[in-house]
Amino acid sequence: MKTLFPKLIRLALFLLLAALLIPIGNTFLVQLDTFATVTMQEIRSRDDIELALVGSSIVQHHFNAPLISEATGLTAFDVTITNAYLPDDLALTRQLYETNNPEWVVLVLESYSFNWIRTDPQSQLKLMPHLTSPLNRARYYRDIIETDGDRLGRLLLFNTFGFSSLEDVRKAARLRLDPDGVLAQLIAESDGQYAYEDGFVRRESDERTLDRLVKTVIREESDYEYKVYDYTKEKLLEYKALVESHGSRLLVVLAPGMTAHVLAEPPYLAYLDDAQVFFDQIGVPCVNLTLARPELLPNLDEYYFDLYHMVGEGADLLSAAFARVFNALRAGEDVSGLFYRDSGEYLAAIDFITNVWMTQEDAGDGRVTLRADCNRGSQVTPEYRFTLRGADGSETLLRDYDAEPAFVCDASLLAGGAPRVYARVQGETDAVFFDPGDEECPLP
Amino acid sequence: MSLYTLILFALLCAGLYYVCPLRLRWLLLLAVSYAFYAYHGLSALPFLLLTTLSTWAGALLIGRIAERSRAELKEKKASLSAQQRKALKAALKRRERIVLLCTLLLNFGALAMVKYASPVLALAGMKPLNLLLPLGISFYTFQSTGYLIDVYNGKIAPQRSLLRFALFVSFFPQLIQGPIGRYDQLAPQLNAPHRFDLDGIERGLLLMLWGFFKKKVIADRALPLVSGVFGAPDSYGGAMIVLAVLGYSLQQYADFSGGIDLVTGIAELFGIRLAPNFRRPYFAVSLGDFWRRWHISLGAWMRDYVFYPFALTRPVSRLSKAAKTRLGAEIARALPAALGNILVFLLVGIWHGATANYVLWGLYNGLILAASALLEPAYKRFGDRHGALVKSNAFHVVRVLRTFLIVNIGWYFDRCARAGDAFSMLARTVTDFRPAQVSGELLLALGLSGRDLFILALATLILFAVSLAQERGTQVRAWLLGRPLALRWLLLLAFILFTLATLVSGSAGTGSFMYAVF
Repeated sequence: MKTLFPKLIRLALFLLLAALLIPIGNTFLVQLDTFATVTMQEIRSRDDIELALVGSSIVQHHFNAPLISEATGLTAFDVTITNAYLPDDLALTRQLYETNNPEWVVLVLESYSFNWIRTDPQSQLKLMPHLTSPLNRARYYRDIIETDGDRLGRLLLFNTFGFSSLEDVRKAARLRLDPDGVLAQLIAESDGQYAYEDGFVRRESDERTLDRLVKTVIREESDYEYKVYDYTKEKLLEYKALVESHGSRLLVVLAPGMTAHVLAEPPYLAYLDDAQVFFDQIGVPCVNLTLARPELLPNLDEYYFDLYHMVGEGADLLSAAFARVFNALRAGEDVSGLFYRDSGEYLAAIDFITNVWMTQEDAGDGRVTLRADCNRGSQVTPEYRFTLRGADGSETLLRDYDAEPAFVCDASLLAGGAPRVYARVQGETDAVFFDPGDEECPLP
Repeated sequence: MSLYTLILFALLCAGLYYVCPLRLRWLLLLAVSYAFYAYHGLSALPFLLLTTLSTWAGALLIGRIAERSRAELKEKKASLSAQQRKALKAALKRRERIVLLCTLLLNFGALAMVKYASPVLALAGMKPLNLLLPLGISFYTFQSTGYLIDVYNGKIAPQRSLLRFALFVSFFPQLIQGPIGRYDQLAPQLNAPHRFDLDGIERGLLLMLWGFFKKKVIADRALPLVSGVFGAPDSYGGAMIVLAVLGYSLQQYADFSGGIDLVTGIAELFGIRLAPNFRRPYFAVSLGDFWRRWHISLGAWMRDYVFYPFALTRPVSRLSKAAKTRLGAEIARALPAALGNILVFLLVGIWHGATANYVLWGLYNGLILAASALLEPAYKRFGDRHGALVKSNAFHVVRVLRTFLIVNIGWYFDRCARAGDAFSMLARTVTDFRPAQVSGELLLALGLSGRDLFILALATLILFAVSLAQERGTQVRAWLLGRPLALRWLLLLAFILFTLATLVSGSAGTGSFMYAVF
């Protein structure tokens, strides 16, 4: 017995050290994301954040924190990592409260992140190394394994995302040892493509989303399930409790989606309505920016550089709109006039076609039916024109504009060419077209 | 049960074991072993119970017959002539043999039914039965029938307690893939009330860690390459095939021996030492040496219960005598061993599976071993003539490499799903090498990134270094535990960190042990 207890204590100590290897590995042996590291370093080193804008890349690219600071008079900061889901938002906010006690917390939610019972391993990779509190880490781990059950993969982050090259090692070492230097360099190297300030990453790109819009998103419904899950509600209540326990005020913003995208996903608006109802029930003010009237936010598709994220120009407009609404809410003013009453009114206000596509049905008797459809506002009557594009690029008219979406012809008529469909709002001249043979599918 | 669940289960059981009163500890082991087995499916329990009950009862019956025989012989000793006594003895032994054969038939019949009924029916064009192979059925069948034969041969006394015998058959670490234990070595340990021994537990944990490393870092990482190439045998040239066969060598060894290390370590948590099952087989200098180092417990079982009984049968002895006059004394002496090896490896091949590739793999090994046995005198003469050469390190290395090559050719048949694929891949290895096909892109497409290859190479190097040290007589665990505390902890923590950082998690097909399906 005399020797047993020291041996037991020694074994326990060794096992404890072995267990500590996991957080050590997850902190020091993983690849680091530059923007996440810089943002988290800023959050740790500051204590003056008064208006925290919390969320995923939607916040990072939509909410111009310096502009919002100026417009609201509160020191705003984008508390964000890309790919963040609700468990990430919770951990981020707990980390925020380690050094800051903001007056306002604005939780920005996008449909594609907040309603899903999941977290992206990438967001864990970006966030976990920067969480300073072991308790926060433990809670975060508990939350994320609840979403996918991957206990081991989530526990051993460095197993999946460990250094894979010397460059990773160099980059991580620099970010660890000199985050301020990286930040200074980031700011100094900001150019026309991007700029960083207070967590906000301004992006300017010529590659805006219009091409991809036509090609991908909106011809078919995505497999997203638009539903506010009980799990989501539970986490949102937890979030509310967290913010209230620190004496901050919570505002939820439902981020705006591209009009084309919203139209392509019929259940989307109803789902936002459900979310709004939930927030009303739990007594959390909620602003749905999708329903913003153009005089508050001209939400044009060309303000996006991809399906979800805005270019700087759009972000400035959105930030100004947000600041306006935020100031009005702070002042206790009624903001309802700035928004459409409901999704029906919003849809009725859309008077254009965002996309058109076509299917081809072979009846088997030598006849072919070309059937066109398009995404559009609920009050829009489309009319379609069918043409045949030859190998040399020439175009032959098959049928001129008409409200009838189907065109029937002999299969032989289409031989050697690719059918193309144009759509326009009845009575207007601008058209959107679709050519299945054209990889690029540009909008005119 | 996943590997991680197994480890947690074992640690929990070990904790329970040491808080349990000393005299009840063997009962706790029995309970957790049956719980472990039931966890894998209640439908397999009847097979375990059948084997346990039949071999227990069979052994008891044999023991009673033997007892009665002895008493009868003693009683009639004075009244019988020597010849009469001999006849009576033979008659009594025949009774024992009937019991033995019936029990063996019942157990191997059950094993054959679950293993071979479906393939045989499929071969006959009938609907397969789709029976699930009960976990560990081969291993506990071999183990319990070995016990039965030992009782028959009078080497051990039958166990009267059904529960104690049930523990011998079902001890949970062994159920997955062996090793096949011997009653006289294992049962006393299982029944003994082991006291808490921290040093022993630490040694067990070390061995578990080493097994885990071999399985999760090496075997599971090599899996995609092996599965990818053998899964599409017509798609690759010789270079890729060679790479895949080498990968299979590594994967199979790391998987099987890693699993054995893990369960041996688990057994050590309870103070129980299992029979060794591997002894660095790729350092073997001949195929016979290889099989004395690979799956040792199965080899020993085959040796004791198939090879010797067969080689010592009257027909084989007669054949040997007949050969003496026609082929000479040397060949006649080697003939029983040669035939025994062919039979043993044919059976081992069939045990792996009722398909032509396994039968051919068994025959391949058996024939080479038979040829070796027959050529043994010639080897000896060569050794006598070139003593210096034979004793040189270079010759030793050549023999090791030659054995490795022979074993790897055999792996073609072991790993391919069909014998035709094995022949075709072997042919392409020499006729259509296509070295240009080996590229980072192709390996990546198969699931092996540059990082994976680096880790695999590094981990294999560690495995090689440890094996080499063991081969040279170093007791690695003892060496490590003998280091100063700081150095020991540093080495161990670094190894644990490396293992955690490099273990393969979540990929399809990983996690289960290759030999658990036998």
